[in-house]
Amino acid sequence: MCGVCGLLGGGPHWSAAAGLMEPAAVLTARAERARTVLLLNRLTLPRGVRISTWSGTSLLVAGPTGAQEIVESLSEVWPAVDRLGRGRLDPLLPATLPAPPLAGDSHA
Amino acid sequence: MRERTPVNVLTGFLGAGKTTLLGRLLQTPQFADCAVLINEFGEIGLDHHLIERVDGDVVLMKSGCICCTVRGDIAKAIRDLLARRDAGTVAPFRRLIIETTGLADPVPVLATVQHDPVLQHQVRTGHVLTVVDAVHGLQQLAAEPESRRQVAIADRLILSKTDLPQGAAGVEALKDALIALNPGALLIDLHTTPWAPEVLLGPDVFNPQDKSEEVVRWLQAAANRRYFPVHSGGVAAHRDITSFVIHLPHVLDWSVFCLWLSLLVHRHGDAILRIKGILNVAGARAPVVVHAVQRLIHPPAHLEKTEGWNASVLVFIVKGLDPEQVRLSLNTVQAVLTV
Repeated sequence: MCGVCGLLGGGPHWSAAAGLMEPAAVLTARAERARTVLLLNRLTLPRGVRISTWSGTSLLVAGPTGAQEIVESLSEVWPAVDRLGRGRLDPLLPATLPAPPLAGDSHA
Repeated sequence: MRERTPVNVLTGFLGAGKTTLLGRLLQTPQFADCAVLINEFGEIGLDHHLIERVDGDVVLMKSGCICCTVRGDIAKAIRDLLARRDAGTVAPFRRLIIETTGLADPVPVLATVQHDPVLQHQVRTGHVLTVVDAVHGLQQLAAEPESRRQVAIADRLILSKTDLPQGAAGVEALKDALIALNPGALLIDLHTTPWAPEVLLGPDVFNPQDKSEEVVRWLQAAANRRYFPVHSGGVAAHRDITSFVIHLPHVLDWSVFCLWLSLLVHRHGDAILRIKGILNVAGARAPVVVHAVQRLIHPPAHLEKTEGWNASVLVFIVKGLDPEQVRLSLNTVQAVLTV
């Protein structure tokens, strides 16, 4: 399965799409999920929410009080972040998003 | 493995002419490979076209088309019909058309098709067909939010009653209003446009054979500035509904784009009627087509025929969102997530 299809929760019929990615750009499903988690955490950590992979195929969403939820797809992440985190991320309100990193910053 | 059966949703405001259209479809041999799910047999006066009553819910028409009433759960109705097809108790139809009631929201039907754990392996979404009454359409668009929504989410806008004197008089103004609301939909006048199955029901972006054709039509609509570029602030097509296009000159990081889009539809899905886009994604061998109706994001499709396409274009039809805010939002999330 290519990252394009896996991220939006595509069904098994999307697995054939892997052939459309340039070979050099194809990540394994696990590598793609790890990258998604990294990016998600950049948005959610300032809200006290840490996201990690769970059992290879799911995501664990952990709030600042220790409450946790397991979700299956990206579309389930945001409601969980709303429930567990401090305040709400709104892509149309830049003040609710983290500040862009300065040049030379690296996020591990 | 059998190809998934496309499902078309037929919608339109009360009295728009959905049942009249269905009545015509059911009598037309070209639609013989269709099955139709309707609310009531009695509504479309089928009796004299009926060949056989398969059982209480299903009838076979002279044209070969299967017609089935929905009792309650739409997912169960589709599953039952597919099971009958597999068992050989109804003809092997290749397409399903579902009629919604005039006040119904068609989006849940699309969501059922895409997300039902059983159905998603057997059927796929096809076009949304919205029938608009040329006599009352303008008035309904002005007065009824549901009517505007039905137009905004359509892939095919079907004008009915243009043969009536009252309909013909206002048809140009109605077409202008419809194009302003949904510039990318194909406008079909039932009385002047040939409405063969290939016009009404296809091509669609989910069909591997003809998706390029449909996407090229979107792009032409954008290139012809039928959508309004975001820097002009979009255009208030009808009160609160606005359509606009965002051009993205750079190659997109797909992971970043997915996070932005999923958060946008999570937070503002009620205000987003349609998103259509063709994207130049880093690492992808071909452009990627994205397509969303409110919170329902369809699985992305990959274009086979690119014809030199190397930019990214996103078309939005929204209710009450500021186009510039949407564009800046994508830039901001990209800046936050890209190092």
